[in-house]
Amino acid sequence: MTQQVITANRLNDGLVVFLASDGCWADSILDAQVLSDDTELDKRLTMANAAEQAKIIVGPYAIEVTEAEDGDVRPVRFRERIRAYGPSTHADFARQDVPGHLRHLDDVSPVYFNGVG
Amino acid sequence: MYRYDEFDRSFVNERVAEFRGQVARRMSGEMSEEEFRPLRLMNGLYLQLHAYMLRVAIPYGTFSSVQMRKLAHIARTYDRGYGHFTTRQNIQFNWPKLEQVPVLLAELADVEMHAIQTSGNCIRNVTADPYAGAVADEVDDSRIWAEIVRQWSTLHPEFTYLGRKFKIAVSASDFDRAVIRFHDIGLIIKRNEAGEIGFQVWVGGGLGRTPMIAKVFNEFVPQEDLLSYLEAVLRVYNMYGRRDNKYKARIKILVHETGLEELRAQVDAEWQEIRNSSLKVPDYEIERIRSYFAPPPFEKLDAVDRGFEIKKFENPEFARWVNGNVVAHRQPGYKIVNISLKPEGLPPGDVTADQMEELADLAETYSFDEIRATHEQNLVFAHVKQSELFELWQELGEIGLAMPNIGKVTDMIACPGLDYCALANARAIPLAQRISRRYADLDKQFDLGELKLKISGCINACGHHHVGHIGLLGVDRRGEEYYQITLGGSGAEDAAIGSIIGPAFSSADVVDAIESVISLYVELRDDNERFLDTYRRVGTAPFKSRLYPEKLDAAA
Repeated sequence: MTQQVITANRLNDGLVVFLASDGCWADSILDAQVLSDDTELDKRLTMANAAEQAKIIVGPYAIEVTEAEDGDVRPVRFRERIRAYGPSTHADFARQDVPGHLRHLDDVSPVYFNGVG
Repeated sequence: MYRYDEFDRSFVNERVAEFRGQVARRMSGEMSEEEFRPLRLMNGLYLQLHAYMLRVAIPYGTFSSVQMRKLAHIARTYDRGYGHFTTRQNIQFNWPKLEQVPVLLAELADVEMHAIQTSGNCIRNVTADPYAGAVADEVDDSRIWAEIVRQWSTLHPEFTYLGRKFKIAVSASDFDRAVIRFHDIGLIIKRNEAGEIGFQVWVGGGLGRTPMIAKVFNEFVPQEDLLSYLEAVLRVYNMYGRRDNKYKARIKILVHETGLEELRAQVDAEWQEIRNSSLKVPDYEIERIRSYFAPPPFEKLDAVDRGFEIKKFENPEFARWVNGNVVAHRQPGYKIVNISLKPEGLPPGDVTADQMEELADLAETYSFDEIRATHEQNLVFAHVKQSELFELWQELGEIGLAMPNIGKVTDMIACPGLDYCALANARAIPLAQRISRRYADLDKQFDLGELKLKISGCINACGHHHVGHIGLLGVDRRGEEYYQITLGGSGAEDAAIGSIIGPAFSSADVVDAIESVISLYVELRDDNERFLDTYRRVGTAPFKSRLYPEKLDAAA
């Protein structure tokens, strides 16, 4: 099986979260539990569905990732990378620590709005 | 401007209270997401890629400084300091928290705003010409009629669960500034030989995966019959529109599959049944609504203002902004000012809370306290004294909103794309930013003249790519962003759906490809010929061979 993590949106604020090994829902994909076993994945998805019943999260699903030796967990699909790292265009609200996420092409620079939040 | 009456006020407040209860039941687990979803959508609340998104209605795009200040407050208090103006004269907030939405909506209700019918399969926010009440070429103020349609369509019990969403736009001029021909129903106000007001009714236009230009169903529906005619169209659609397939559920498909003549006959038959019912719009009601849109207290001014002429002469940058963004007003001494929300390199349609507050102050000082949102994701101050344009321009410059690029290549429509939208296949905003940088040179933009470039991140076409002179559609090719180029579309009175020019370009190559298209236009154009006109004259072949030379080689 490929490596996967389970993601969802948090019910109360809608933000993207990932299922961590302690059963909590983490803001960062780096804290997600990487699963590479079908049985384990099913078990964790059941747990995620219970979390949905428990009004913690909305719409859990598994995404394919790669995990580097240094622990960096990266979604495979482009859409999931945007979802995990934040919009590539409003830098205030995106992960700053992901190489290439905000400077994906040379002639685009990120926008800083000095927004609150 | 329209002010809520007791009915409006009470139903909006009731709706806020109702949604507060629904959110509480969702948060307590009494309601599942499946049950909650249609309810939140009816209140403009989506769950997008990163967070909830709230779409707030600005009926016919007209709002006041007080309302703009409230939007700034909401951006700051409940969101992340900015808002995003859409292509249907609405504003979106990208990060509201579900638990705070009820109180946010209560604050909106305080300034007579709401998010009702900005989503879901109902009649959506009614849009209109952003120059209404200011421009010389209009038959009547389209906002009067948009307001009448708004009142009729709001919480209309028969049309709350349609097969699909339904969009209505109103215009009153031969120049189409409201994309009339790409709405489910487009209304163009006309005057007959007797001088009476009526409506040319266009039905079945739309973009999305099956773009279609609307067809004229009725050349002249008298004003008192407007609502019965609309009701007849909606009834026939509600009855016969497809519900088996989401992608074939819009009225455009019904028009296409049934045929114009037959569907028109069905509408007419229904209309005759209900024409002389309570749907007849009484004159006193029209006059009552009209009074809300009475012209502001204009001063009697000379058409020529010497000070203004001198400033233009002395300051070429100001002259360029006037040339690019300012258009004639019907009242001597006044002008209509377009405020571009496309500063170089920034996301189209975004405004920060600080800018909103400044804009509110400026509208109060310079434009009778009134602001318009346009479908091209810009703003309009509709009534500015010519003698005060220079001061307004300077103040707009201080908040970074004096870009003179209206209608130029960098005045792009771009949907939120994959940066925000759960449906998108590719990003739209970063591509708009790159094009904006590539064509930052204003001399170059003015040399190119009117060039409408529109970008959608998926086939749902929120970025109107089908009607761009140059349209860009984001597609997903094995996980990579690619962009398909269409040429020759127009959302204006010369409506046309663009043609796909060939295989999609990678994200890395697409800006160069656009530049190739534009360079070829410059080589081929006759004097002062717009991009669209050159394209229509020479056809697709030269553009194809410029973009795909290898194909020619292969054929040779």
